[in-house]
Amino acid sequence: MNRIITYILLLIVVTTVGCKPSGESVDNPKPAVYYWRTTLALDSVERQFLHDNNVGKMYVRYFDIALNDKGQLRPNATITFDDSIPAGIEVIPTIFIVNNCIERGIDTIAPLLVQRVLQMNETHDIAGVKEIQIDCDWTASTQSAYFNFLQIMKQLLEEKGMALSVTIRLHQLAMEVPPAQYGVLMMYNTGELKDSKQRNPILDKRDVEPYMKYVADYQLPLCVAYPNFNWQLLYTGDKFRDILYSEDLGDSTLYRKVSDNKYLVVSSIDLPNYLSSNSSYTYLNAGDTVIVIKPEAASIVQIHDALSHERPGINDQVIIYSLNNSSINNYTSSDYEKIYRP
Amino acid sequence: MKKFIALSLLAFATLQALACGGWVRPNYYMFSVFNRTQMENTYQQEANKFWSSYVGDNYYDSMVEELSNVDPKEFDKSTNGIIVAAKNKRDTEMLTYLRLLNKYLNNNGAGDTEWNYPTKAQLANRKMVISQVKKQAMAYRGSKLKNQYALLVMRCNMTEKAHQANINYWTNTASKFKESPYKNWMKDIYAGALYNTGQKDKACEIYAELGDMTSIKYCMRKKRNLKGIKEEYAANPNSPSLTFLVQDFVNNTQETLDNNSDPEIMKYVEATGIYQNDIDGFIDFAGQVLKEGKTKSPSMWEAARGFVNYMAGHQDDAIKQLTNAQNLGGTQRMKDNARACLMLASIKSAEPTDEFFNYMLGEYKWLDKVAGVTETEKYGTDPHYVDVYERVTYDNLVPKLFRWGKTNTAVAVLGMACQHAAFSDEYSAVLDRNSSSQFEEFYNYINTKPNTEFEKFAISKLSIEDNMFNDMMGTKLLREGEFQAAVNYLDKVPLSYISEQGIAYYMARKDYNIEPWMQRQFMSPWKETETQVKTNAKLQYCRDMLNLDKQLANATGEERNQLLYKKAAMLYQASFKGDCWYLTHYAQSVNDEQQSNEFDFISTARLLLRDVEKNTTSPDLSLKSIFAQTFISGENMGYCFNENYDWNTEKTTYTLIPEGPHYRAMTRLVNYRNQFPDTDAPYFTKCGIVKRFVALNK
Repeated sequence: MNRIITYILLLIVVTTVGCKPSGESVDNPKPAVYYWRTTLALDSVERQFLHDNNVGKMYVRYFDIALNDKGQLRPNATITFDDSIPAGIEVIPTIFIVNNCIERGIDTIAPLLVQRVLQMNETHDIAGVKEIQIDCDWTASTQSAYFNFLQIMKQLLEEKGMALSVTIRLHQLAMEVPPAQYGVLMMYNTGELKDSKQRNPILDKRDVEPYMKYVADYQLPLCVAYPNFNWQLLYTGDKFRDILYSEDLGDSTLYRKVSDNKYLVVSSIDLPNYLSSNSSYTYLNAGDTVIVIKPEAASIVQIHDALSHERPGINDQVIIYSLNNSSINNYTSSDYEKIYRP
Repeated sequence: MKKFIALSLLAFATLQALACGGWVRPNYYMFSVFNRTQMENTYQQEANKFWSSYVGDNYYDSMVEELSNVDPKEFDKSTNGIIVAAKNKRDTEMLTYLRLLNKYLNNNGAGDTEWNYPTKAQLANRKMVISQVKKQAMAYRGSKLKNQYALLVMRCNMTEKAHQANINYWTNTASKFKESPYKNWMKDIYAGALYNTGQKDKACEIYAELGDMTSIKYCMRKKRNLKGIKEEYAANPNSPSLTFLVQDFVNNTQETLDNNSDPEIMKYVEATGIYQNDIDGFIDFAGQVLKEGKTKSPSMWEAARGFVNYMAGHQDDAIKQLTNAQNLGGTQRMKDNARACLMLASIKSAEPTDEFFNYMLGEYKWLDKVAGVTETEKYGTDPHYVDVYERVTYDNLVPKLFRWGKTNTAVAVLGMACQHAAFSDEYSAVLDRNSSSQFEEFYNYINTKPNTEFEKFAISKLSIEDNMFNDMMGTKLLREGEFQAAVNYLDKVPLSYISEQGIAYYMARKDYNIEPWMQRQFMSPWKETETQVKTNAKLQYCRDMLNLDKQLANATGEERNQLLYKKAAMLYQASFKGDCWYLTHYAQSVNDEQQSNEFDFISTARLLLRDVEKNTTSPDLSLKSIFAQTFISGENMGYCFNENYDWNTEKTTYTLIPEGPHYRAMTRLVNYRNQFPDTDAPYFTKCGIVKRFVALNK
């Protein structure tokens, strides 16, 4: 019986999305940002960025869904609202679902998730919310369960006059189209960390190219998210070890700058582990190197233009990942202007 | 000469066991002047002790946690053990406190990982409740629960992010209380308030003083190097943070130097040079600290430079300084730490003299006490000395004893260590891998008068009872193919003894008479249940094998071929790969392999099958023999195809490996079958692997 329901739902998905014309852009496009921290508190630099770039939408990570220590699906790392969103900016609550949750029968949490988001809006006076976004790195093996979940989410939200959007990773372009009103094509984290000396793992044209052929005909309205962050990658010799979390590489007692983006660790130190889910530490040994990588603005713009060429309208709405004081200065105002332009 | 060979083999087996246990022993840090449990939530554990004595026998740890699940409206009806205990004692003062604590726990926001998100009104109500709880807690004028109420006040302030209020409350009130776990808990919250109001250095000092390792590790993250130690010392030669920083430095040195044996990490040669400067710099600096005489913990500094010298290979300095450290000023833990480090360092340069063994005897008796009595007041539940015990024993003394040729002593020390360590398997593994003669020799060793007091001490912890001896001897002889000798021992083993073993479950259910290539007897280890065996299959197996050999001695022609085929099946079943591995082993693992002191059941089975194939005139028996050889080839040398699962398409694809032995065996099998297509061989026609091979070859 369950299988029959699955087939029916999939059929609905295929039928629904199959009718849409290709190349469609998203409704009501506006310059946008992702906000991906656990406390909502905007400083003056961040507020100025929103103002200068006429940002009209903020995709705010409300919480993650993860398995707790009892193996139950529960909200995790819920955002704390210590500040208000500047007037005139629409908030799109965004929920990150850890992929391993999907196998645990995620359908049942759809109403709980919607209710929790609505309650968070009400509690914190966040008005005008018209949409929820789901972010998940789903794969072929979790696709069916994930799409069922999205279908239920979509239905629940439509009943409330709201829309559902989803993130689309590059590899997902080659797969079936998820049931949602539109997708955000993630143009970051496109490469392999272990290969970061050869290619930029945040965004590299060579990693994007194989997927370009799917963009034009992807049967879901799309907009694009581009990165503005950098990574501090720790190496022991040639071996990639870890990503450091906003480490102050200007601290000369610990690091010595040896080239534009390369630092030598001159004194051993332990730092909280960024990649690990538990509270372990990364050991930086004297002699290790830290390489700071970010995509060149020109490279982002090149990919931006290539996408527009493949699918006009895809850049009508651009989202910068993410709004964060430490990332904003990675690019100039002029760079942002070029990235945000449709 | 015979004895020498036996001992060498034992040494080989033992070392192999130590190295291939399936996982690598952690790199335990030797230097510890902090209590290890301070890495965890010490205050919660201390509070639990209070509740444990209050509730009595029915207490369990999650009872405290469960207080937060009690709905305040249902408080009076709650079956929570702590509440029930207070009610039974008619302890109204405690009940009032518990009501308040329950309200706090229900409103501090800790439950926000649930699906229900609080409404604006609920948030406001929470705020109001926390404020009320704080007010009531502050109004407490009694003395019995003074600490608990004060802690509640500070927890409420923390929830309200009223950091300054907590600083004031601590300064004016809580700091004047008598010493207690609750006071330390409050001081920790006070440190958090300092940290949150920008007084980070002061907060770090307190974390270090309290031994709150998690917090101090975060606070001190920029000073965890020699430069940081020097800065901290310059600011305050008795800064509590130095205890953490010095321990951290010594442990990092150990980590760095120990890991140099790892070729992956050896890549960073550049780092070693720089780090060596830090090591030398630290030794000099510790000497300077001791010379200046400003520190109140010279024992720690002396032991630190002593142990770093030991790791750096400066053995004489190390021994001198670690010995000296035990007589300098510092806490008892610092002096114990120096003693443990000296014990380890001493092994490095030791010779097998009476003096050394007498020293080891004294130190092991001490280590027994500190590692074994983990529940005493003095040592709390600190497992550090258990780790010290393991490192000293497994990584230092035991290998040294083997190098000295004192094999039986080494095994006895391994056995002695079982009482403390999580690695008791290593002793069992050595005994299991021993040949029958090695095992018998060790048995005699522990049952005779040893040479030294140290050996007596080690042996006094061991015993091999008669049933265990007979069972192990019998099993070892069976494993060596000495079936008649095995019977002599196995005959003495009662069924009740077999039934106590894990293998009983398999012994009662797996039949060694079944040809493994015709029918597999898979059984899930997860379904293991206690089983009373009705016969000792090992004993029966030996007898059957002896009978079979008798019959074979007189058999000729096809009768002989049939008996050889039967024997091959029985031999394979008793191998580590067979379904009836329990005949020769006490456990089975995918990592098992043929041991040098074991009879080669598998190869012998193959030879017999080849013999049958060559000599039989029966196409049926010949096909069965070829089929069996093909099975053995696949099981032991890998199958004739690779299996690849594609996660994207969720499909499995197979590719043939024509160069492999199983491919050749399969080809021979299929060709033979094609010569005799009329042979009734359902095992062949229904075999999935044969079908796949044929399909892939099309």
